[in-house]
Amino acid sequence: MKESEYARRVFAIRQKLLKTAMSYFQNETTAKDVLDEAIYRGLLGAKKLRHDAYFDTWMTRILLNVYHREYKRVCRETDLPAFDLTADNSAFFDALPLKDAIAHLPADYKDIIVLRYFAGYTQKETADILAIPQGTVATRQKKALSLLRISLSEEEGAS
Amino acid sequence: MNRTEEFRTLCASYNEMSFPIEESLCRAKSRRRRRTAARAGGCALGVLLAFCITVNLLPGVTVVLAKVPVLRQFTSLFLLSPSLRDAVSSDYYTLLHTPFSAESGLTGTVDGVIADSLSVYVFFCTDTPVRCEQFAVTASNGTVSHSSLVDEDGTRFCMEIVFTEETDCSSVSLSLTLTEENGTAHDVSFSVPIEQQTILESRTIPIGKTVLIEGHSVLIETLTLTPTAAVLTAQSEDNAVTGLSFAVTCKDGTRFVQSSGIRSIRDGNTILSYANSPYFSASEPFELSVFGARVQTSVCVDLESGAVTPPTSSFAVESVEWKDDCAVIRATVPNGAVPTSYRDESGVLCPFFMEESSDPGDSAVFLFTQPHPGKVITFDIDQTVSIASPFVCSLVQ
Repeated sequence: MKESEYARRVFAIRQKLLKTAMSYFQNETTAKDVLDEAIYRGLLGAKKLRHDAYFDTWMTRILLNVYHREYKRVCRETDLPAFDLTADNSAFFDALPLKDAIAHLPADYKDIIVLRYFAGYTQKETADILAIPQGTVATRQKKALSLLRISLSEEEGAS
Repeated sequence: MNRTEEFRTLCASYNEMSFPIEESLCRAKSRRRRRTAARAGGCALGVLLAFCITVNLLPGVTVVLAKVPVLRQFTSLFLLSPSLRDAVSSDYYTLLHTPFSAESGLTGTVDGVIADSLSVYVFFCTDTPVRCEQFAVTASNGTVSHSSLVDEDGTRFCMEIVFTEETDCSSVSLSLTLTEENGTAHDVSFSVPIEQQTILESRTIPIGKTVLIEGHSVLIETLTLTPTAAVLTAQSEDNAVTGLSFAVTCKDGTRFVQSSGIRSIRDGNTILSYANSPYFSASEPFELSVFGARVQTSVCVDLESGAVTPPTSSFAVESVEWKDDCAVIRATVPNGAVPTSYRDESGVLCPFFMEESSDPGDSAVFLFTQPHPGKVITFDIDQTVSIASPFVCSLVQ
């Protein structure tokens, strides 16, 4: 993929990428820094992209990778506790604003919520981005929505 | 503001934000130019450094990744069905960690449950090794058709509960009699809640084709794919066919079959056969093939003459003897044929003990444990047969 084509494609999905980055980070500055990094990484790897049709999901995958690297760095620096799925977390989540509640979800579930309901990907596209089966996306989506106590139709995300 | 409204407000706020993508692209291009220049200089230095390291050190780099699976303790129980393993890998389970205890002092924990619309699997463990003497299972909607218990190592158990119709039961109750090695018996009861909101929808594919199996007509109605099993539903008006061997093939060639022999339930005229499920497969189910069946036949044995009616290769009497008024029948039973029960002249089901022969061929000895009034008994024999021309059907709609 040529540089000009890459720039055109990124421009077309800039809002989707921004919403994805904002969903992960509560801090706008950090989200834009991560998006900046993802655009740089995408430019470096654009020549390796074989099928232009997969550009959106490929670019989102790069953004997720940059986020996870940044997240791990933050975790090491601030010693954040691991999330315990076995405990009853309902009271904890209910007390948080939605933005914070999403931020506190386990990484697997957070990815699903962000990609499905903020970035607007379908279950199949989300499964492709995360390289997991579609059934797994469905399971984790249900669990995450139940943790957040959100009731959303399939139309609210992409169907 | 409720959560859903909060979500919509948050989405709207993100939609109003802007990001100067052009500046970001310019910065990315500049970084790439600087990176290219630095690489050229760094390469030469890197080669020199690598030479020094290789000459002076023998790097034995060993990376050990110890990742403990979340449900490692269930691993061997997944011999019951690889689909259960796939379900756990896809986070399709509910962890409970609920303790239970018997009045006699035995304690244990209900670890978790995997449930879909046609089955429930309850995983529990005891703090002391026990064996289960008997158990009873009830569901909140009262429709349990079959249940079985898998004992992993005397402390870890899995109760499989099967429904013949899709159900939305909210809980199952288990009552067990567990006995320790020293003979102490414990009666344990507990209920397991089933969270309907976490149960994924099953997918039912209509088939509607009739297959002829050993002269018996079987209508294959539907294939239902649940997270834990592929369930083939068929109808047969005579009682001969009791199960079907089938496989579901996905587009990538992966084949989902029955783990060990034909697993099925007969409920009236309905035959439910079970195989591993492609529910969590990355590839779409593509084809159904039915290539065998379990067929039940009945044969009458005259204990005086040893004659078998009707004559069949599935059961050939070699001798009939008497021991304390109890019959001892030595018969030839081909591999795959299993006498399941016998009835006396009145049609009453009677117990018998089948002793395996040391001959790995076909002989088996049937010992009847109680005297019986008549001289004619009827054996019901299940035999697995292959369908000469397997039924194949596309699942792509």
